[in-house]
Amino acid sequence: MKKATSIDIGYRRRAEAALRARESEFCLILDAIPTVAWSAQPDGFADFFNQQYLAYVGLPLEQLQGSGWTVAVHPDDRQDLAATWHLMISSGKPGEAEARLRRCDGEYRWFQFRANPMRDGSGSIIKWLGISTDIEDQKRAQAGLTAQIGGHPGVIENATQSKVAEQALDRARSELAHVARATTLNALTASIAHEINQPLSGIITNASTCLRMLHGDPPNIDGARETARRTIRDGNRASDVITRLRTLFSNKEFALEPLDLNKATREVIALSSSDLLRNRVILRSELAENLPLVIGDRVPLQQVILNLVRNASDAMLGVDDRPRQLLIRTRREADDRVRLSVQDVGTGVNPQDLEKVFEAFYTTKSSGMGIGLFVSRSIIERHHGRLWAESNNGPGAIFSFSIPCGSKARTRLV
Amino acid sequence: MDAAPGVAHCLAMEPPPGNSAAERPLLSIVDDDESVRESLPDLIRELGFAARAFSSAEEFLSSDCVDQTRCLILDVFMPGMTGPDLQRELKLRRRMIPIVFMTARRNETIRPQVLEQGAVECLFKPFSDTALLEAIKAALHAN
Repeated sequence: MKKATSIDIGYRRRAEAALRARESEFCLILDAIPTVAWSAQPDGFADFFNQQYLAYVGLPLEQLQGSGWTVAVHPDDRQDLAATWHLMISSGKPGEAEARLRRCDGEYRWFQFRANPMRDGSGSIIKWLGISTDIEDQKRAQAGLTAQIGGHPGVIENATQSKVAEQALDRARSELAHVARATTLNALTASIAHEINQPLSGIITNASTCLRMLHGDPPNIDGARETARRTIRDGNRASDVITRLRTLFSNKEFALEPLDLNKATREVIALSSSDLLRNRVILRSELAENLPLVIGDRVPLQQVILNLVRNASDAMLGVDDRPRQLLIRTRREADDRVRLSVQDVGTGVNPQDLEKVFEAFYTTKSSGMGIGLFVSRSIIERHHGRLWAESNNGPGAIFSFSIPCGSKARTRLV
Repeated sequence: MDAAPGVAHCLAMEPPPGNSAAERPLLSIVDDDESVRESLPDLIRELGFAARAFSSAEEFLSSDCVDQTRCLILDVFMPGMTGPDLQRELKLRRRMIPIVFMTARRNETIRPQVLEQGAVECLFKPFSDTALLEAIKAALHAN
């Protein structure tokens, strides 16, 4: 008995010693890494900060532990960083965020915080490991370069800077793409403004003339009557512009006809096949046999399908580690509806953005105005249907619409 | 009122009460927008000037009004020859007519451009009658 206990104690001691040794080895390794590093317990309690971290912030380990580390994060960035961190802890997925971290001398510099979960054999998280990279210079170069592209030429001084500048250039390019998109929007609003300013100009000119004619001695009643009439006409003209704009976006009359959705889909596939080939997209279609006819307007429905196919193809442009597969499916649904789905293996849609993608001017693409899905949804809704997005089982997304078919559609559509 | 076919003419302005057409400076309006061509001449006459309207720069250039025009009220964006095109053309022909530009596009870059090329003013539509009168006075003064 005594012997056994002493063996137990001995074993435990050795095990504890081994664990301590591992822990201290682990800490030694983290201290040796030439970067700012830290670790946290599975629940997010920060338990270790390496020497570089402590030296940078100039605070003792005890003050940083738990959630004390947030004291050195810029107050404006604290909330976002904490939110990302909590999201990572609850999802158990690696993540990253940018925030400003206070140096011991009080200066804030931009850091990129990245953390990965470390798991045991059963897959449970035993620790979080994080590094924080100083990206202040990169941020500045990026800001400088964007300014240069904006028309302030400057000189990039040396080779080390040029690499930073190269990365910054990539970022600046994507910024420019955003500007280009905004420019498209500007062009749209400018042409709307032009269309409305013309009749407004007529209204003001005619009304001014009218007043002057009435002020004359003797007043020019006939002239005033004529210019007042023109004022009303120009007012109607401005109102017509608004009506036309609304028509452009939603009120177009639909030419309804019994429609074979499979046939309409095949035409879209034929139309986009060369684009898909060029983008190395492998298209597969599973079109249900004996699909009932829908009552709809072929052209706008095909626009919707084309839009979904193009989006799916665009979403896979960056995919190089797997075949760029695009699947179009049609099938009959239980309640006299037909469903069409377009499935890709691309970048996918964040779960919180599944509805957002349908908002006007929302886009993740570097080109395009972000109205494709917005307009598509309004077209499907005018067919008394539904258009929605889901995350794919695996990478990518599925966009589907379902519209009423046959007699049901005929009686419901006006 | 009759004119040679295809040639716009500058005669036969409605005589304003108490003033003869001959004494009034002629202002030419060039705008592709019909409602401007219809409304602006009336206002300009009310302001005490003679007015003619043309639907394009080409029509104005081929008219017999070029030499008599004391001030040109010119739209910036027009199909075919634009306002700035006409400004350059008149310079080439050494016709120094003061120009008041007008545009319905609130494009902040166009204004400094045309002013640099010697325009008197660039009005954004819609503009008030007083703003127009100020611009015309400045143009006639420049003349």
